[in-house]
Amino acid sequence: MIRTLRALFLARLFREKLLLVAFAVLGVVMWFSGFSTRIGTFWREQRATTVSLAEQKQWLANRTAIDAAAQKAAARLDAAQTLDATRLYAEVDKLARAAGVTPGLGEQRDVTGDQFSVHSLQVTLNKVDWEALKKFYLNLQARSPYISIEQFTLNAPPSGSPLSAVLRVCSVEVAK
Amino acid sequence: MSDSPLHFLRAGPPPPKVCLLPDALFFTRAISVAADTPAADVATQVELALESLAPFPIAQLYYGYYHPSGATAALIFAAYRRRVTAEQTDLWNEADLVLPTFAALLGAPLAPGTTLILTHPESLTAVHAAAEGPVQIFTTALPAATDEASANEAALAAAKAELLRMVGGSTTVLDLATLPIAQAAASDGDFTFVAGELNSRLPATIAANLDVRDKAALVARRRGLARDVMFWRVAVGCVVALLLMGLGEISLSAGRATWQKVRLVQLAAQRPTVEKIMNAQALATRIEDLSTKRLLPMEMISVVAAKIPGLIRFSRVVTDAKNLERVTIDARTDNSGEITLFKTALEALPEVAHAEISSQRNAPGSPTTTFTLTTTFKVGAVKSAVTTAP
Repeated sequence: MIRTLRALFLARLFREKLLLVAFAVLGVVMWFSGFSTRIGTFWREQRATTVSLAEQKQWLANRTAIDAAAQKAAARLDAAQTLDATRLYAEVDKLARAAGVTPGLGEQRDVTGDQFSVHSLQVTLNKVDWEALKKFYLNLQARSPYISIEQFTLNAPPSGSPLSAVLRVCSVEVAK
Repeated sequence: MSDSPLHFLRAGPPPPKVCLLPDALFFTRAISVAADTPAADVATQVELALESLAPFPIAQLYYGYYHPSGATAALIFAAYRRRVTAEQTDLWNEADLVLPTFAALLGAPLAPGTTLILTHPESLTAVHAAAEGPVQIFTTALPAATDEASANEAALAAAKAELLRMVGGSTTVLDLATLPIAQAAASDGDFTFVAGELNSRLPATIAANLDVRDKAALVARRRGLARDVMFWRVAVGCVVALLLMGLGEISLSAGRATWQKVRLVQLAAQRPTVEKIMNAQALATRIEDLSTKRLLPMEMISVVAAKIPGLIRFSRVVTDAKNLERVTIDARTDNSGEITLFKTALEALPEVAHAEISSQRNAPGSPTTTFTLTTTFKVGAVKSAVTTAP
């Protein structure tokens, strides 16, 4: 069959052969252009899926160990002393007032898990002197690890006083 | 025309276009050739022999030769160009092979002593396989035909008898009923002829030497054929590439619809569970950090502030639990010389790993220099001022 086609092709005029070959090459180039893009896309997709599946497999394989580590971490804390979001708010307000400062409390964030949750709260202290700030800070540190400081920014005017501070504090809540 | 394309394809390639010339146009000679002579040298020897044998210059001859590989003789045949009409040569452009009729049978397996008789309308040709040396060709003219069939047959029989007598030594005589007819060959470039029950196969290299056309024109023709074959190969390559890409597209679609889809479904199904585990891990790490790693901004400020030279003032202090040992301080001074002193003093502290000054600049027309001091403490070097809750 191929030899028949070959004989048929070779019997064509030169311009017809040229045209046939040109069309065939053009067809290949055009199709290959789209095909290579599709192949590339598919390759990247399947690669990403493979990597994601491998990651998932690893996480699933480590599930027991992670749960055990979480249990162990939670065991370090006294569940009764851990603070939920509301208690954190109240506790920080109480500690600030005990230090003689009036806090601006806002922007709460919560990360919730099966066994425990982490709550965070932004605390803004305006026009506060160094000693009051230090007292508030020491009050917070005394409640560690149930309350801890994640971020601390202190601003001082050119005159040096009064200061303003922005803190993000967080607490852990262990499910009882 | 009623045949289906499939039937056309199954029928195989058409037979090659061959021009068989009357044998009477040609004279034949045999020349000796050394057995190991290269093909190019054989062609040169043939041309030299023709120049000495022929009464005309070689440029005025249509010639060819038969020399199977390793043979010790070559059979040369040539015709004076003017004996071939323009009508005949016009047909040659389309032909794949142009040769004398007897040459078409030179590829037939003939036992020594065998004589083939070819009957042309106006002549008889005998091809005799001698016991030694190349085949011998004998041609004789036939008497003009008359209206009486029996007289014509008798004249033909007499001419054949005379021809065989001229040949001499024939042990087997094959009187071919038909002239050779070209058949589709088994492989490209080869030629196969059939005359009655006799088959003659001429390989491509031998057939090329048998072609009597102008040699320069043949070279140009072969170049054209080579180019066309290259075109054919490119076209076949393109078709194969298109088929492969078609196959690839099908595989791609099948791969997406089955294999990849199953994996994506699995990925989506596992995602909530994995996210839960990741969350648990993140929370466990965070609790661990809360219990064991504490951000101590005031303590770090105290350590740094203890080394402040006279005119440097802090304007902003930033610390983050993501990097517990680092404190970034924006400061200003009216004496820029103090900045280096400050840095050196900090680096001399046992708690400090390193101190770095950046963004140092002066406001135009102002003696005040602002800068950023990033101090990194050694791990665990800064101690908390308070004891923690149990």
